[in-house]
Amino acid sequence: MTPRPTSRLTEWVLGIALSRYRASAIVGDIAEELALRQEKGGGPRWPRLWGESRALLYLLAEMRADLPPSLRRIGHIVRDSLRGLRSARATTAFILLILTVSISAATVTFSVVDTVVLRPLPFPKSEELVVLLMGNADRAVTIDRSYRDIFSTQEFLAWRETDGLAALAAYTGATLILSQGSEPDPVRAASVTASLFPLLATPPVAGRWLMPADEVPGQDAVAVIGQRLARRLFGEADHAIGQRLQTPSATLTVVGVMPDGFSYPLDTPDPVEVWQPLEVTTERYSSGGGGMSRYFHLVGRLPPDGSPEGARAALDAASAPLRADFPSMADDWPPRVVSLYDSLFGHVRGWMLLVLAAVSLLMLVACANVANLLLVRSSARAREMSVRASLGASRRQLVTGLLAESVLLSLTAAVLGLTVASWGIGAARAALPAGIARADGIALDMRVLAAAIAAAAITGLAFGAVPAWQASRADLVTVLKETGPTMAGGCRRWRTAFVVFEVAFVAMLLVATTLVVSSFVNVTRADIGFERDRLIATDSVRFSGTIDSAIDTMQQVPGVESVGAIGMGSPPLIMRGLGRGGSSSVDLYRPDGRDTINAQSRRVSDSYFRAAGIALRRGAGFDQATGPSVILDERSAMALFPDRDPIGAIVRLGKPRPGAAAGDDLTVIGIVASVRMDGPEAEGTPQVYMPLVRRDGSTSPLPVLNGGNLQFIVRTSGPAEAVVPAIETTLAQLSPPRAGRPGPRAMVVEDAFRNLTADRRFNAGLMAIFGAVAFLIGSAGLYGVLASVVAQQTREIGVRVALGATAARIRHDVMNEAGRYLLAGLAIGLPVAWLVSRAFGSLYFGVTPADPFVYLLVAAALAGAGVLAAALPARRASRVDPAIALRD
Amino acid sequence: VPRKPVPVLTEFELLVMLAVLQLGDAAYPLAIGDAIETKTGRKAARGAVLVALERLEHKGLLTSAYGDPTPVRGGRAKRLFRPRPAAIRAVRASLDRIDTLATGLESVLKPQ
Repeated sequence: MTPRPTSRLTEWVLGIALSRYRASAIVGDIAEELALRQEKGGGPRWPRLWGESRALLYLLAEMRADLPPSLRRIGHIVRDSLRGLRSARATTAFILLILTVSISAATVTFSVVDTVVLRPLPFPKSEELVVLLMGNADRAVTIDRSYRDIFSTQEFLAWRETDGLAALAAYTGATLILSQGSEPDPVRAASVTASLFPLLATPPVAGRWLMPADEVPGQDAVAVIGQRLARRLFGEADHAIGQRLQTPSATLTVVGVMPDGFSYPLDTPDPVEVWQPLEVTTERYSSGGGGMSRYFHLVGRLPPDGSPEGARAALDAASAPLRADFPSMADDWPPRVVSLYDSLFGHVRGWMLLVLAAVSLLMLVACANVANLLLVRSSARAREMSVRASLGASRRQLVTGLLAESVLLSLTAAVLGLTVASWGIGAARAALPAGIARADGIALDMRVLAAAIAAAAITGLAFGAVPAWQASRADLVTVLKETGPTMAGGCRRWRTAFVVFEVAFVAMLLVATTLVVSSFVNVTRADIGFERDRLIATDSVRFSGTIDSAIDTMQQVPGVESVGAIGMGSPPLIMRGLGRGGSSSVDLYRPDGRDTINAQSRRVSDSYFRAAGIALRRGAGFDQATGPSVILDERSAMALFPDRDPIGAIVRLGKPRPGAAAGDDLTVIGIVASVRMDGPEAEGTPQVYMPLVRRDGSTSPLPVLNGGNLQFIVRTSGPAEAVVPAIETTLAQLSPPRAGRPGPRAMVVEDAFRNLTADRRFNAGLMAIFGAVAFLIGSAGLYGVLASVVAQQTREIGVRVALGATAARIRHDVMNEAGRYLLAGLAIGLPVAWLVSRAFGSLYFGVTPADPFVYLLVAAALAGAGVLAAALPARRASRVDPAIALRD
Repeated sequence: VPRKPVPVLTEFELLVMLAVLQLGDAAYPLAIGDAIETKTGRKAARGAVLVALERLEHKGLLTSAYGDPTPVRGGRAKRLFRPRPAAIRAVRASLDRIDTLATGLESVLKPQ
């Protein structure tokens, strides 16, 4: 029996497409033909390959035969237009590349921005939803950014009933460890007051919302869960009602299931899936001593005709009892009322819109370029069209062919664009900075894809088919008389316009890219008051023994250069960047009662400043101190002592109050550099440092808040990552963790910095890619136009050379032409870029849209590209041989 | 009873039809293509032969059936095509048309 000429897969495909018998007969024919050929000695070199291609041929033939006649005609048209595209292979490939890149970039970017920023929140009348932020913006910054939206029981109770808000709810977030199965199953959870559900106004798919009655202690072992969790644990939403959720501390009964897509709070890395009741009473949540401790986030709904300003005024009135009870905090009220949308997306909206603008420019550059390429092609095809028309092709046939070519090009680009975009959307999701609300909902937006493809198709039709069609109407004799490829005057004008606009668009994009990228570079280089490379910060550990011995132990770890310790507050960047540690603040005043300031306070070891790389500007460190002492940073020194030398001056803790006993006196012994604790972009806060170790036996002026708890800051001699494991081991020895608990962690400070600048990094990376792609496309476009201009002017150049023009003169003219395009493009692009980039002012760091250097750089880059793009055509032009040019 | 009009054959269809008639019981695509190529010297792409056969079957001029498997074909059956009565009429009509137009051109077409 002869060997099988085709693979099983091919036979299977044939069988599916035709029928088993027909497929078998075809394979038989192939086998027989192969055997015959081999008998004759002229068999194919690769029989299997030959067999496969034969099978494909037969399959196509069978399928063609099955088509109704109208479809068969379409097949012919497609085949003809494929031939047309193949004949201009380089142009086709280049157009496809440009379209694919721009369609996929536009689709991915639009999808991300639409999901995250543009789409309304998933709640009915979401524009009425507001969050409350701490009223005194300065103090909110001073205390800590993460505390700016946290409120106390007293505040919630005072504001709950105000007219300015239709409803107000309090919540805190948490992670709940479910123990339904064998594995612990952490899910995102929130404790919420029952008022949250009517406020968000999304009905449950099964069961009910939490009710006020659920908040009562003893009846609060209930939960509302998300539909996805319900499906995962119980199969169906309906089945979940009445089921139990096991957690290490309690067993919760499921009373309701919220629909897919519902989640609150929204700014969590993954959706919240369990809501437990939260009872807010002063007995439960208040600090000892009648103070005010802040625990809750507050979200409200404005009345239908309400406004944030109205709500704020009402909250101001409702704050009167608070002011009476807590006079020292009167500045905190009323809270600011900000729309929920702005609070979630305010910080990303700017740069997302910038990226959107950038990708739109990229799309414009791409379309202009494709239009130009098509115009070249269509003018070259005018001859073909005229000849075909004179040979009897009907106008309908010509038009159909042209349209088909355009559509085919767009469709291919669409398929390629879709493929690249679906890969790109995954990449974008993975690369997005953490903590962007709704990032998990990002999916390819088909409307956007359709719009991008439509833009490409319209470009193709407008600049490929229409000009060719017009050209075909020209008189055959005229067209044929003009030797070489021709270009009508109108076409030429269009092309000039396109190339000028292309340069303008590229210039605009490059200006934005330069601004964003240099902002990012400036951020990474900004002076933040300490040296963040090769620096490790540790979790807080509690240990017995002296601080000096602990520091000594850490110092012994191989690779460690110096070690400092902090007893209160956390090392720079760690809290904002890694979400660990805490902060503490004190009020300080001068004995004469002037200039009270609120400052972040830290208790640090003598070696802290050296280990952290914080410069001592004046005075001395704690090792030189002889009494109760304090070190101020430059900012607090300036605030407290604008009028005198702070060294040796006395400051007191607390606020001056008439009749109150004077606070303890601290002598200012040194001034250190101000540290930007929350990164280069956060507002700096005044800082004060007090000694961790009492040198002279005098009583500490401050209560020790966290007795014996220490964090270390470690400067390593080599890369910090390499030393982290050794440090964690040493920490575990100093303070053995409880059984089953993870040991204390060591964190690389640079990681915290990277998290803090993740938005910028992402943004700068994306803009750099867009800028580079647009730059390349634009340069190639410029080259294409110049090259075709030279090709079309060959005769003219020949005449000029014959009349005595030198090669240098001809080169100069081509260069001049390039220069004119560039100048015109820059003259349009740079001013527009300046106007537009001013709108994104908040995104820049250390650079302004008015910076002339940015524009010079962009102009220089484009000029360089222009010279390169013009060099080859200019050379070609200067080598035109008049004898040949005039003969052809 | 009015007869169904006889389908018009294209040149290639006519060739395929004639080859089918020539081959009799052994008319399957490969043999038909070979017959056309060897007897006329005209290139007959396998796909084109198959398309023409399918179309002729669709027009009601041919029927196909599967024959017995043979070893040279890897144990696979042939798809054998047979003419239906209308096929003879269609071929005759085509040839008649050619004859009619060629009448009087003998001196031009077959110079002595």
